[in-house]
Amino acid sequence: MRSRLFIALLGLAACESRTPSLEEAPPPDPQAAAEAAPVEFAATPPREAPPKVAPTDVRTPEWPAERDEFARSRLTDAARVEVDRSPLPALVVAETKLLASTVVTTGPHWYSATSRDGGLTTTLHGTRLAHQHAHIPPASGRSAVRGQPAFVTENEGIVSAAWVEGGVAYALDVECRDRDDARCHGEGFVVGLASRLVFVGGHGGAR
Amino acid sequence: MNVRRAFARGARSARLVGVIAFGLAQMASPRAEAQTFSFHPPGDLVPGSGEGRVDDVVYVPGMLFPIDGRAYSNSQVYGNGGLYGPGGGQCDEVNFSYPWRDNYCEKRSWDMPLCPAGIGHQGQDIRAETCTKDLHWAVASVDGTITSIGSYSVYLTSADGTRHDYLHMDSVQVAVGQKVKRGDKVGRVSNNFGGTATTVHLHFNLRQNVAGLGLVYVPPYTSLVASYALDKAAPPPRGTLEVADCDWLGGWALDPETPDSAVSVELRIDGAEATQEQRVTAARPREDLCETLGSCDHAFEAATPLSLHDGAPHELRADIVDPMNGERHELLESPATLTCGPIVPRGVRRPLDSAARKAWKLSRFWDGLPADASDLAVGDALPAEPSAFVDPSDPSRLWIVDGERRRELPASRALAWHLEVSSLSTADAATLTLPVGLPLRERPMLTEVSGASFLIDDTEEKPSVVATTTGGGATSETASCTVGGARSLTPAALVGLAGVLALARARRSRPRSR
Repeated sequence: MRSRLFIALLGLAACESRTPSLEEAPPPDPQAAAEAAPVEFAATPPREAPPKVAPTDVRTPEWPAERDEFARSRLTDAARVEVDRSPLPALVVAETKLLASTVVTTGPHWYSATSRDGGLTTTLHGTRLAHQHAHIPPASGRSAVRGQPAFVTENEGIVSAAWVEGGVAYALDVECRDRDDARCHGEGFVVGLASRLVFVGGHGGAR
Repeated sequence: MNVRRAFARGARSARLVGVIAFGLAQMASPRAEAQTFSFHPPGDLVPGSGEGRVDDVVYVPGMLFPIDGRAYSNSQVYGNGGLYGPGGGQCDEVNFSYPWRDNYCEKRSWDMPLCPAGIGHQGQDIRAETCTKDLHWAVASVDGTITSIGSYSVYLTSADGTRHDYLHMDSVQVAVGQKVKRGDKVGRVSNNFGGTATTVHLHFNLRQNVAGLGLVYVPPYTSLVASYALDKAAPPPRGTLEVADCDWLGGWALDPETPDSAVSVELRIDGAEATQEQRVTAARPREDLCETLGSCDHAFEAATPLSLHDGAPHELRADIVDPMNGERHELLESPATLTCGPIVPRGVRRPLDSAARKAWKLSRFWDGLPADASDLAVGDALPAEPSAFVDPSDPSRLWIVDGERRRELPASRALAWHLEVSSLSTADAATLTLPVGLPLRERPMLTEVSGASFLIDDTEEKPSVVATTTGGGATSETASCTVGGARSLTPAALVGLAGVLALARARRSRPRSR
């Protein structure tokens, strides 16, 4: 009895044991299809060409007409400097509490802004570089964010919405310290937060 | 099934094949027996756990495997100890063995456009070498920027905008905005899950902007297989700093690629670059290593550098320097912080020229006293080279000829004097007829006055020896704090004390179980 309880507790503690998806998922069917034999490395490997990097396409973003100067003024100096380096329209979560803690980082083709307020972490990631994987057909998400079709998913309790806007791929993640925090359950909070993102600048953006 | 056939199943190309096929049997660990790396093909999930994505594309070619050491990719939920697992516990051996198993697209209810069911698990669960949490390092898989740190997540973004997500770590080593290089420590694999523990593992995602979709979680499994095979086929040098106190340092180190050769362990203090003398060779035999490593001669030990005895805290980091490429590989349990009490010099200072200093293998790092000894009286010169012999009737006792005297040194302290007992000859009758002088101190103490080198030693008139401490208090070099070698101790007592010291050191240097 004790060992069963112990196993049950371990199970409850397991990776996604508290996600709604798992609670909905049926246990595995022991009669499921026979397992394929594992691949074992040979002692003498065949040496073929290394894997190729998928071709990429750098999109030209469409820049919004106006900056939100109020939100921009609430950013730290360091964040504003980094925003102005962004190669794509820099959006930020407009909540005042989050603006003050926003840390912005940029790369040659991407922009990221992360904020923390108590137990909530938000991260907006945007990139203008798209990877061309010919074997992956285009598709649209079932949800809508900022008037665009979006994929909303949950990754280990982190709710994330992804959409394409003005040629740029964005994703907004919300992560809660407390797994029972309602903001990290369902798509309502992240979609609402995304709808309130504002444009604060970028290299090539309007002033 | 061979690698080619396995990947031909789903194959638009055999991109992965060219980089993964070789053995890992030589990859040594003190814990695990050698295993050959094997894996189930991509998309082949635990039966009944959902429909996987059969996709052999390596989405991030050339990345570094994100965990240092061995690792085991398999499901946390459908494996032992998981909610839908077959039973058992998360630490069961089966979870820490090959073959690997893909769990991207495992049953979940949220949108995942690349999963056959349109929903599923976003990444790959990876267990580290052992079930111990907060021990094994997760490392940067690419050069990039840390773009977010949440309650239990760290995001690393590479130049092309691909995000590498690390979840459930503790001891996070990075900050948002920090630029990292491949292999830099990111955090330790743990079970952090926003206040609710999960199993000990790293959840690893790759998120990429795929044309026609936007930012999606792409399959990480093939990239992980390729990187693991590449990284671990030539497993890096490894080892453990098992003992690090104010008296002694010890551990083991090995380069699995050359298990019959010794490697050097480099000691760095407070982040400063190490000089050549700050190296010890891991070549000492140790019985407990024979079985676990496959060869015995990989232990190292040394007296803790005297230069650290200044009462201040010092960070001591121990790395193996890969002779092939100069890369450093930090030992487990490194770094250590030592605060060793200062030593007040007593006795006399005996001159030694550069040739004698070299012959006695004395160095500023190991033997240099970080205190002013200019007030000490100058004694006679130290012999030009050590003449050391093993006592024929008691091999735990050495005799060092010092002028017209012979001075005793417990064999257990030979290393501290840079002597190898195994290379010493037995004392002859002439040596044994010399009058017995004061025992040598537990370790040599080098000082420099006006550019000249001196060994601080006891005088026949006023014996004193060094006692090492682990606290911050000063150690006065008087007979009252003798640890070994005072005139008042009888030879029998010395032998007993040497035995106790040897036993204590042997106990300290016993490998720790993991």
